[in-house]
Amino acid sequence: MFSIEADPLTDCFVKVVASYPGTQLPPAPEGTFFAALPAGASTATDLPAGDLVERFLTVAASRGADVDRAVLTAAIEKCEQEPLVTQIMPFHYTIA
Amino acid sequence: MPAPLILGISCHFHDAAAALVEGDTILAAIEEERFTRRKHDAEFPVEAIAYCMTQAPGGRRPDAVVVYEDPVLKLDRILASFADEYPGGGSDFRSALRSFVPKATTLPGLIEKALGPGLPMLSVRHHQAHAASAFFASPFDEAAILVIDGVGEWATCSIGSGSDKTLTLTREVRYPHSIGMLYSVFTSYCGFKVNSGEYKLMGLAPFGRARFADLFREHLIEVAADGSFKLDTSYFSFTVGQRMYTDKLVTLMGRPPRAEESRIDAFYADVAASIQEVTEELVLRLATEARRETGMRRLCMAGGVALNCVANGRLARAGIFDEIWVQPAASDAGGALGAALAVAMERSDEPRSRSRFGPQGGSYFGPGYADAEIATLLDELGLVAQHFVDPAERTRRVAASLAEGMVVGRFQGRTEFGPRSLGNRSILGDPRQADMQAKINLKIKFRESWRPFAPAVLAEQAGEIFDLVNHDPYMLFVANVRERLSVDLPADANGLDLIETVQQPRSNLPAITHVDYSARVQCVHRELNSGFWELLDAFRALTGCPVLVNTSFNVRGEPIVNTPSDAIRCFLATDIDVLDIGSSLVFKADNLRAAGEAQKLQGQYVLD
Repeated sequence: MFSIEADPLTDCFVKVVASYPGTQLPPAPEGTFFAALPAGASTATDLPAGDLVERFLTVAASRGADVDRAVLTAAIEKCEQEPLVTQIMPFHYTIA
Repeated sequence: MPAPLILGISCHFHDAAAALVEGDTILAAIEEERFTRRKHDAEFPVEAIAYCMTQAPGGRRPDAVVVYEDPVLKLDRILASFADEYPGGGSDFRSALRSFVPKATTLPGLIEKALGPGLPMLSVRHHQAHAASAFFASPFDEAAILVIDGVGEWATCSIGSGSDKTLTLTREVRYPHSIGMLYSVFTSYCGFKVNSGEYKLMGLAPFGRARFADLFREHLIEVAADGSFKLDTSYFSFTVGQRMYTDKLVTLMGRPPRAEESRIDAFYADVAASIQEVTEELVLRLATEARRETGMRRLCMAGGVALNCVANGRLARAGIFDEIWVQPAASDAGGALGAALAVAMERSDEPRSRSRFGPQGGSYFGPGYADAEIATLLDELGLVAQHFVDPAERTRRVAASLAEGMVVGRFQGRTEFGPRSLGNRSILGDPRQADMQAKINLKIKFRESWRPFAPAVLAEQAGEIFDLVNHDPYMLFVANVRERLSVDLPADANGLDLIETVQQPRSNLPAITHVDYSARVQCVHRELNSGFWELLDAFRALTGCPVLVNTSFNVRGEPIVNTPSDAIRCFLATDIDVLDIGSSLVFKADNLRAAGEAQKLQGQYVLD
């Protein structure tokens, strides 16, 4: 029987994406569409190996998003089982 | 203490590459596609890494491996993009996450598998890497920096500055507001492939009139006084669906998108001219802002939009900056180099090197092959070849062949890093011949006959032929052919179609003069490529013309040739007349049987 709840990706879409802040520009000084870069943006950082979710949650929190860790972790674990496909279609190039 | 040895990697996006630097000395840099023969190959660059490590001094292991792009920020942007679409976009979200996660989480394991355990692994932001590839590889002590592309993590356009070993980006425009993606939208609308057809759109633009530019300014993009910009996203679909624009854009244009490979009429040429005009304006305004913010007299640029050599030429002529340097591998392949240089400069105790052309030099950072190895291969293949002990004699023979109208494939020295062939993996021809453009396009490259070719010119004489602002060695600036060399068009030239238009000679160098009298000039400096310079000089001595047609050594849809075998295969399967390879010359006329067999085996080329 079909079950939305049984699918971690759909679960993530409904429970994480639905409430995630969109791409709207943050408030900027009038007359510009530039955003200032945060301190430290110019520095190299450690490549996140096993702590992608942990580090992502920090970024999400800084954008005011309260992400359900378990839901995101389950979605990522599900995707990790997928084959690595890098020859992407053009219309996806902005995403992947 | 030796300078830090840093390996940079760009992958899983497009144009995967690796680069190895020691301090700011670039030891090796190469795109993965050159080895795998898959154009724009995005796979983890196993072969490129292996090649780079052959150039490590004393077999030394790198002190760190640096990946171009921060996957954490990218995940943030992916979720934000789909939040915009919610509750739509569910199936695209599943595809996107399935594509992104394995790329992000398998990288450390892939690096360890390629290089062994225990290496520190770092990441550098997408635009920071582009900026580093522009500034640290340049000859400038200090410069303003402008990065413009499609998108990395969030940034689509960044402004900053570099001084000695410090590089700081201060402001950025963020996705979905993107000049690169706006250009790609119209690349797609005009029937070309995104991420490879942008050059075609730029080449098509001079055939048209910018009659839609006001429409674009009014509806698609809002530009602030400081050059920053915002797209009206209701016209675009960057996240979901099968194309990058909505029906609203099609309605605005009043015509459906052009089908790939269909006839190009004036409407689409006018669209190309219009988006090119708007892009150039944006680049100029952003450069003006970079100059105002930094007060610096020099500018470094990178990011895919920096490969728009028509915009670069206009920017140079505008005189906003005294000097402009553009990273020749300005797209994502160059991110590998920038990531490596960014970390090397953070860690280096040594001062930056000083030289006229900077660490980038001639951009010859890929594999080279010994003359004896090449001669042995030719022999094994049973090809009739002439071997030369004296390189000058070989050069004179090649020049004479070119002067007789032959097309020459040149395979010498190390492979170029970046999308342009700069003499070492080049197809060359006589630019004075009216039929040369069509011959190389149709019988050798198998590409559209209207597409222009670039000239390589002796740097010392470049100013006599072209109206140049700088003497760029990387083919990154467009300049007009001097008026004294121009040819008046017949009175009935207006109203001709694309092919008829391109067949009307514009100058005494018709094969390299585009329909608007422009040319994408490579100035060949003796200190960067003495062999190629000497060939041009020998051609000049014979003909009085210091210019050659220079196009990449490949056929349509194929990466530039990398190995001697690649070059021989391309030579035999096409109408190239002479192969100048190592210390040998191979003439097609001496090898007709082998060529006939190769042409029978030549598969259908992939449309690009």
